[in-house]
Amino acid sequence: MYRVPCPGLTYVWRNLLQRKVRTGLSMLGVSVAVAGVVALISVSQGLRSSFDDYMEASGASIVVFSGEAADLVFSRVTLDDIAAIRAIDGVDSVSRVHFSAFRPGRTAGKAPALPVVFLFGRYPEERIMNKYRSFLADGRLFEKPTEIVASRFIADTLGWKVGAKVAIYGAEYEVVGLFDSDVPWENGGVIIHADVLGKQLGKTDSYTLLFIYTAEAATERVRGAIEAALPHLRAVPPRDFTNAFTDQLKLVDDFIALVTVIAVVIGVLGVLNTMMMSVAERTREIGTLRALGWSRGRILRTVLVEGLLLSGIGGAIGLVLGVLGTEALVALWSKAYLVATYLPSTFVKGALVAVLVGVSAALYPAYRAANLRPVEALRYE
Amino acid sequence: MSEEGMGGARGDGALVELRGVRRVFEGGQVVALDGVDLTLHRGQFVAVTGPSGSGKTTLLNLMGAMDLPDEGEVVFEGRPIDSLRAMERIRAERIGFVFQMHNLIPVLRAAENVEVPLVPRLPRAARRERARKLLGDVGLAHRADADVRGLSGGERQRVAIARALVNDPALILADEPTGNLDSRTGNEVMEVLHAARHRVGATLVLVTHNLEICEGADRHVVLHDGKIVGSP
Repeated sequence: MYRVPCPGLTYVWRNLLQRKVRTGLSMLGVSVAVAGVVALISVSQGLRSSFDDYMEASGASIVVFSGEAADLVFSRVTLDDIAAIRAIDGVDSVSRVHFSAFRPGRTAGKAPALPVVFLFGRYPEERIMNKYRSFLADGRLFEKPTEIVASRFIADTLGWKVGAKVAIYGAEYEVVGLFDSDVPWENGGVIIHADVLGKQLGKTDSYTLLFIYTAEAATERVRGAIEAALPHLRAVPPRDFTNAFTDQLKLVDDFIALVTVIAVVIGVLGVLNTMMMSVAERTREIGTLRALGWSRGRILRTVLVEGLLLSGIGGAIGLVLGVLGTEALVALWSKAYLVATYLPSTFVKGALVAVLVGVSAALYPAYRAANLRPVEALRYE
Repeated sequence: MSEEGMGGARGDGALVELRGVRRVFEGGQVVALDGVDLTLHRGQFVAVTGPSGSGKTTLLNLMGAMDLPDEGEVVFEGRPIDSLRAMERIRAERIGFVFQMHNLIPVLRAAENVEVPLVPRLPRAARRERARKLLGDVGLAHRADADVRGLSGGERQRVAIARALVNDPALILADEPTGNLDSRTGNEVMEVLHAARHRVGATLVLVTHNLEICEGADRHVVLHDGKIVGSP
């Protein structure tokens, strides 16, 4: 016999439209949950991509850092390590760098215009500085420890100009140039002499990480040689740097997972409430459908599809809201620190959240509806 | 209790048999049916009357495969109704219901309501065609796309009759279908119901308080305190 596999979609759809406000609020709940997940994942992915881009833009073949450092700040590559690396056959050049950050001071009693400014410690004569020549928007690159080069965004925000004297950690520096990087994250920083930053960090005999330049054919061999000779260090291609710092990123991933769980719970509660009320109000109607030959399975599927449709539409709206909201946040608030990257997998995850919400929230009401005895349901007032 | 009633068997065989059926509620405190034996034949019009609480609706529920007896058995077309699956199949394929309050689905249009029993079994186009034909049979072809909330009581009940007939039922169970209608509209609805029944050759079991309706019945079953006591 012919079997129609899905319930009457007209019936399901009109039931949702029947109670527009309740349906709309439930959809909104799902939308916000999905939008939140999309925004978090996109920003997290943006951070990774930005960091990867930053590393790749160095033009280096290998990035070297402490294998056991849980954070970049704790990474220490010693002078002995550097000497050993330079001695490896195939290493063309080594650029030594430090990373730090500072908080601009209050001006005229007002809060700082920026929460943080990154400090990139570099040596002017090393190869890593080559990329900034193409980014230079005004002035020149620094040559002395008393000079700095700032991103144009930082300079505009803090009111710095080329030739200005500015204070960082109590010392005075002259802004000699401005740059516009194609890596958003880098535009939140200032390039400063590595010796100055090393002293400020208390790392006069070590560096945060190294950029190693090799011929392409020698890269893998050099990478293996570094890790073999210096097992306390990690040597990775720049693109893999972010993945190599799994401890930090795992925290971000755990946070996103936690927020996703909270979002799902909120979504489930909203849809569950709607579906429970909907089923309770339609008890007699469900009894009629059962009397007219709809099986328990069909009633179950009907309520499930109703929940899925509700959360699916809410989820679709949430995906759009997530992108719009994230873009608004990036445009209005961050400009340099925050950047969002939208991967297909992000939208798949958002859609999965919506489906999960729909199924979880509709399962119990669907079970209740399917197990209503038609005789009792028809008596329901 | 043996079978009693007015009129005799007609048609070509037993459609529904109740054998020593007993149904109790509230842990046995309320006896709705008490040892009822009843055989309904194909094509009969059977009127069921009795005071409130006499077991009329329980009798209809058992014949309609919506409930199972605590004792005895209900046999439909020679097969005992003894499982939920059998009950669902019989309701879907062999029985049409007409409720006192019509029980139309408010979010569906008239034709869509008529289609409801066919949703599990037929594709949309086939159901739509059949529903429109049946609405024509009950004089509502022009109201096929109407919102049922805007129909009069008589029109709603005629839509419900079309819905009860849409699966070519062998048995139509009507629980006071004219109970909420004025007498003129009630008579019209009964005419439509009889005409429709004759077209499909179904057995009609009708619960009513209206003795005029009983006069046209092939059999008249009178219930009192869960037992068949004969004619008034």
